[in-house]
Amino acid sequence: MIKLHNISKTFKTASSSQQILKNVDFSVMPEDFITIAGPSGCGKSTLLSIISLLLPPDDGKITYNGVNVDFSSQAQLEQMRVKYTGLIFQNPNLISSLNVLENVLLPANYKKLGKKATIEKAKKLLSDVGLSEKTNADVSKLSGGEMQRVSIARALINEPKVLFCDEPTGALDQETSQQILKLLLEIARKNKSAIVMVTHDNDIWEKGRRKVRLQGGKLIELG
Amino acid sequence: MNWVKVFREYNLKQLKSSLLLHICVVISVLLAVATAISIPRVTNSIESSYQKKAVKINGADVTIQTSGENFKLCEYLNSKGKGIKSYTVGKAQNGSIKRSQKGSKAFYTDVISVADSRTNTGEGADERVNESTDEKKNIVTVSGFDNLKENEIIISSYLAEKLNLSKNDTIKLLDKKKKIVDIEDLPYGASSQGKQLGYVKANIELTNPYAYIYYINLDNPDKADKFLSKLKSELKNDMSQDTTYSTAKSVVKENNKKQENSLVIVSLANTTCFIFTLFTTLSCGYMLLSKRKKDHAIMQLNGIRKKIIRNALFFELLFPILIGCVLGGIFSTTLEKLLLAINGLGSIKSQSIFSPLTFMGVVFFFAVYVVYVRILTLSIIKSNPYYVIKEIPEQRTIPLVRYVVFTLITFFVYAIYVGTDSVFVSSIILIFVLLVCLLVCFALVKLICAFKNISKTTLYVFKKLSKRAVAYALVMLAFVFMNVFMMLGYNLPKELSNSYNSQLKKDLPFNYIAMVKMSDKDDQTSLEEQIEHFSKIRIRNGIMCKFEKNKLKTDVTVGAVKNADYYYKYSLKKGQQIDKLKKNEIVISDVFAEKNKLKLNDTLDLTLSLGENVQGNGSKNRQAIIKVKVAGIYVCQNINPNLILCNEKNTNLNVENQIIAASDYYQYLLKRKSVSSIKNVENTLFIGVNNIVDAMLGLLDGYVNMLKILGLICIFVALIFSINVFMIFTKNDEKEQIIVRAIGMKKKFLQQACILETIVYVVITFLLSFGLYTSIEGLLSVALFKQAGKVSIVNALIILCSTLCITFSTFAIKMRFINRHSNDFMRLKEDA
Repeated sequence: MIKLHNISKTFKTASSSQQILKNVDFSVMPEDFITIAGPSGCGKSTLLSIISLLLPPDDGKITYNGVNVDFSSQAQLEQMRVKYTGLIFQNPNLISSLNVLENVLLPANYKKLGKKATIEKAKKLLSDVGLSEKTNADVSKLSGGEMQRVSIARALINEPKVLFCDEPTGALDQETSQQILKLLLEIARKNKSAIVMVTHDNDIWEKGRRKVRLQGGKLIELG
Repeated sequence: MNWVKVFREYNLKQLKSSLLLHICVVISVLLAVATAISIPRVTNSIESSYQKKAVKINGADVTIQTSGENFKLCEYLNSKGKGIKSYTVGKAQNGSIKRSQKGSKAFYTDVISVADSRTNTGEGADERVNESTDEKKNIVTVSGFDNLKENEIIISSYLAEKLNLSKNDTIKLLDKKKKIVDIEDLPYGASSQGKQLGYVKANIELTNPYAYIYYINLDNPDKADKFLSKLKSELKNDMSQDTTYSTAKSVVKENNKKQENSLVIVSLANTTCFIFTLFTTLSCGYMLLSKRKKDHAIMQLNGIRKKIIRNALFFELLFPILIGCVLGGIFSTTLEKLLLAINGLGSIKSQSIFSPLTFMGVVFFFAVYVVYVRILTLSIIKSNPYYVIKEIPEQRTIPLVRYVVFTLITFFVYAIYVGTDSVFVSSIILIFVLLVCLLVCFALVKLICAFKNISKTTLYVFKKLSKRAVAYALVMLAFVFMNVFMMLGYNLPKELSNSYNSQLKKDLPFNYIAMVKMSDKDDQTSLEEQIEHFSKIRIRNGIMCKFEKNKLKTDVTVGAVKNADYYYKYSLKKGQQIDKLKKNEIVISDVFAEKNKLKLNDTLDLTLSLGENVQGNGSKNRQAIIKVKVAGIYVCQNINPNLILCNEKNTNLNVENQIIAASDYYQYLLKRKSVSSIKNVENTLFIGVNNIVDAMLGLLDGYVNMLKILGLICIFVALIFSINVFMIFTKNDEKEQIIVRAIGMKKKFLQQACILETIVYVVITFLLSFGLYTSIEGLLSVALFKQAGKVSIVNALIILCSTLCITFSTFAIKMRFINRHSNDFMRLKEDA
């Protein structure tokens, strides 16, 4: 579904430059569950940002369902992001002025199902993540775990083909982490979405169907 | 660890990155202190100037102004044993002055002369005969008249500024060329009207005086009050009610009162300026705190006590405040000179930069800002470092009550510093107005946000606005005050003039008044030949009007009209038109009726002095009393309100037609585009109605000019404040916009949201600015002209354009970010 070919990325500062990714080849298939691990600063999040079309690579090619991604075309990027990707960050990044339901509905495409049905769908998603009682709650009053659940529901509202998760449980305790992960896998399975997850947590990494390690800018697939 | 170490090792190193914020604080404090100190300095300079020159300003120890020549008063002044050293009679007449260049606009003013009064007794130019004693008394030399030649004049600084005149310029006064030999900064011996509208002093014969000014010097000037009270009681039955009396002491008192009134208006602008500079200073402080809150949290988590961090920041903020206060003290001298100059008092000596008033002001405001900064740094004590590090939203803890209470105390102490309670009262009124405006802004934001959300864009924008309604309302309030001050300083006088002129056009059937002496048959014939339509009114001055019912006793002017000569008819409010009047019926003006509580059918006694000049010896006490009935009330629009009109054919007043007094004249009412084409009328005085309006509006000039300067300062500080708040918002918004893009929303969504947000800004700012300005204009219109203000589309357009300009800059910055940086997703990674 998604193919990365010969991807390189270098970050430059005034005094130095550091190559983060060196000629990386990688692919994501439907309903995959890929976990990416590696030491701090090795480029995990950068790789995730490039695959999820948030960051352009310096070199290389990315194809989504056989279509070559043109990073100079904002319109194409926006369209592909809406169609294929859902994002979950370590920080839930909710919009503080909107309530729980409104946060989930913000990226929703009403044209697909109609407004009423989309709202029902958002409520269903919130119910799936265990927040059916808090649809109208102020997001600033939620716990860290609850906020992350809202961001999961938000990521899934447009039924993305791939869920990109950047350490989604990094700021949560062990128990909540396990709950969130379970939830993510369940919902992704239900939606037939693939998951690409960056993690520091070895237990989570081990759960991946495809386990990837990033070292010295190179990708090593371990199973 | 002590705070000095933290200050040295942390705060000093942060100075470079926070330089812009510190500069903003310096500028805000400088402007607030300079304005606040310069205003009492201006008042003090004017007051001390008035005190030093009180007698010169009054013209003499005692000055009496009457609207007609008062023979009884003359007799009293000539009599022995009243303690009078000398006296002179001056006259004041309405006239017009213009630059001698062709096509210059005439300006309505007061002409003051003492020249002809010297010939009143026929005893030579420089002496007045004390008739009862034959003892010769020296005349009072009114300032400026001592060596004034016939072709020379002295003008008031107000006129000089209005007509852009300077010494040695040549002007036309009553159509004769004169050279300006002096410009008077203070009104030395001017008539009451001249003090307000500006004046010209000339050694010429005034034929149509509206006022006689008696300048009296006493043997013992300290007993001026006693002299006046004795004079008033002895001439109780012979002085009209509109006679004004002044002494050197009362001149100072009157000026102090005027200064206090002026202070009330100016302190409104000053308070606004102070409040916005305070907002700016505090918002800069809060920006600094928000910029460093993570550093402060880390320091706390590493064992540095909150008190130490607070003291170090407090000390850091004292620097820009101290610099601002000292610079404010220095610049207060410049601002004082500027404010004196725009009030036409440029030659008044301003106070020294090292005066105690300046020193006290600097110390006072430094102490005030120290307390504000102390309150500001409280938030360090109240913040929780764990919440800051974990980015858990904390309940905002801005100590609003402390700020409000301390601000009220500041204004109270400032009122003591200025020396008048009206400053405190006006400050409280302004704070109240600001609070009301803030509430209205807040309510409007909430109201707009309560609309049903029709799309995701409206949902996103309205929810955001609603959540930050107070901060948005504050920025809008700053925008509103920028607009209002701009309109007050630069549009109000023109607006009032236009509004009053259009009302005059509606109410008055004429736009020019021409005055021709009764004896000048040539001018009358020439004028009547050149104008097709006119109303011709025969005017007689110095008639005493008595009304027993309310003990009214006032000097009036009687105008008699022939039916055939009454083309332009005054609009009637009530009763009969002049050509329908029966015997001994009169028509009075609406202003006169209201002032003296007169109604239709009231009966008045008109006492006509038959005049010594015509009848010769022994005739000066001869009087004719005629009973007249009020049959109509006409609309005068404050122009010559004491003019009583009668029909020449049907009134006993025409008995007196046989006696032509020297001061009798014809008043022609004309309606023309211009009077410049009328030739061969050298002795005719033309007065344009619009000139009278301009002169009346001139009363506002001092205030308007001060408002212009203070308004500019307010605009500047409001701008800095808006930028500060905007920057705080933008920082929050930028991250949110990246998130919105990251979760799949298109750039177009953010662009639409930005446009919608700007529209809300424009709508609320426009509505409130327009409402506030129209209310102020309406209030002034009622106060000055007793007319309701008008809602003007032009004003609405100006305010709309200004609002668009103000909001466009913020819109452009936001749009630039959305277009260029809203997809900078690496920033999310940095934050994480």
